Amino acid sequence: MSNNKVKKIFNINFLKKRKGMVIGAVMVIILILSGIFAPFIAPYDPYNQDLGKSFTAPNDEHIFGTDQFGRDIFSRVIYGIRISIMEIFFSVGLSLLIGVPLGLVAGYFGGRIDQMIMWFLDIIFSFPGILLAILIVSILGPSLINMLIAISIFSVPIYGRLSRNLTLSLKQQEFVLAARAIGAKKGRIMFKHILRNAVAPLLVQATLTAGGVILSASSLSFLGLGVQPPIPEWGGLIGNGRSFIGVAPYMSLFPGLAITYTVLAFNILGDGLRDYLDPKLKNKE
Amino acid sequence: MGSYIAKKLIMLPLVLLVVSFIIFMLLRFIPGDPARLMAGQQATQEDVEMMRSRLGLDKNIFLQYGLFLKNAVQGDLGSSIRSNKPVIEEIASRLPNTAVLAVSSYTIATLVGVTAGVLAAVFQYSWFDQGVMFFAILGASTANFWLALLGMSLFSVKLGILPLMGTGTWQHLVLPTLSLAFYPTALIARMSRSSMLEIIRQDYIRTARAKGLKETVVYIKHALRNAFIPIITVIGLQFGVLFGGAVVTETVFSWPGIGRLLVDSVRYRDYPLIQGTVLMTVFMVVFINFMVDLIIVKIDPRIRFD
Repeated sequence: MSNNKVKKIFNINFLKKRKGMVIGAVMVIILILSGIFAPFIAPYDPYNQDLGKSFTAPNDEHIFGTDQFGRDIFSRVIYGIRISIMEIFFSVGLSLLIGVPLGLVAGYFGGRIDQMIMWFLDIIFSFPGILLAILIVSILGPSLINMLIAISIFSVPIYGRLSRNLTLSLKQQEFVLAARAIGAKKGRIMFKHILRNAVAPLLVQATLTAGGVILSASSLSFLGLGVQPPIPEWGGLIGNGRSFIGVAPYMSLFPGLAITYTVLAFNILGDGLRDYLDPKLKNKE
Repeated sequence: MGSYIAKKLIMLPLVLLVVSFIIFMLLRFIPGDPARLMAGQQATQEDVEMMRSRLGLDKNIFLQYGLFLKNAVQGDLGSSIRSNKPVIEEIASRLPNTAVLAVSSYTIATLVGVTAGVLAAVFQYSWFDQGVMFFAILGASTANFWLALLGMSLFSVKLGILPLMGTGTWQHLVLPTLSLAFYPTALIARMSRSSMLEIIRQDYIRTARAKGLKETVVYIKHALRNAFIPIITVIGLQFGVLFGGAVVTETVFSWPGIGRLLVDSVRYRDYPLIQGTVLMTVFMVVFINFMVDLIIVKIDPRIRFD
């Protein structure tokens, strides 16, 4: 980021014009900070059972109530932030790591290689995401890490396609031609010159995909195919509350609000970033 | 146009072949003896040997796949370990339930989404527009199973006006349909709005207005027709998403469809059933996407001559 841009970010007028980006960023920062400082925010140990207090409706002591084992739901939701942030970083990171090189190679070399890679990505894309994830989890067994691998795989085509299209237009640019003219190696051109200029759109896509990761992960955990209890994953918490919907609806209510908040935060931030980086798109959405 | 469709037509069986190969191979990656896995936990040694010869596990992997394909084409996807019934029968008995749920959600999502999105674009920046956008962003950020539980808790438990779960009457359909439709409705509304906004700014719309045509004619005849192309693409792509969502929704409402069948089969490690259900569902989604492609070619002449 150039010095000029850093200065711009601290300019109030600049921020006023980009309300979406600021709101999204603030929401995400609040989320991450709450995750980091979970031990200071959560009043109870998220795993601590107190059977005498099971199914306590929200009150002053337990603002979100307690579950069937008397565990404090507020504390579990707060600790759940850590799981969710981890899910986002791991899953988005892994799909970028696989998708981007594939897209770069496809776009840069073109021809047969391009066709093969894109065909492969299209095949993955033809699976409905959650179905592919269920299939993979059924093979690897349900666990946090296996679920994240499954979710990462179905996002690979999104990054592959995007980085391919970016490469196709970037490789015609003068700086790439210049690099080629002075004899830079192909790998260097792809991973240094082209990738560096593709970072911004990839970042926008990653932010927009982050919400999807949370939705998929919580769905799988809700079904019992993802994060296993007693780990406080939001989808898992809702799944647990499902059995008690008649007596304790608050058990599902609050973790679901946390999911909506998180997905909303990343979607708003992603939209804002996209408008900022590509103002042409702004009026379209 | 002919060559484009021909290309797609050749690709379709190829894609299905590769997809079936992937599913077939993936299930071979499970550690342990596939014959024992396919025969189930309670199978005797004899059963396992029978399964081994039926699957042709002593032959090489491509021959095995060939055998699997041959059986699949003849409608034999093996038998469920748990119920012992043929997989194809299990799927056939569940499919209508999923179809009812999918079609009703799809219809609602399309009708509400397109109407809301187009009106929002026509009345850009009005309170209606802002409301639609707010709903669209919220809808895309909410977990559908959570929404389903909220609906259950309010309408079934508290108010008692809708059944909690199961099938039978039209009332049983209300909550599953609405919770499944929520997410695609939001996406379709958003896409319809942005597509319509883009079209409204085109020169030929200005020309139509300049000719003195009525606003309604301009919108309905000139703008809407062109705005429909990206809208249909998005609607088509939603079908796969909808199937994925059905897995979760059906589980929440104990709706006896394919989605719940899949989740149950994973839970009981019923591998023939997992293989069959995933295969059938992916085939349907691929086929529907193919049909959407054809419809788009039909209505968008630009693709035909590309």
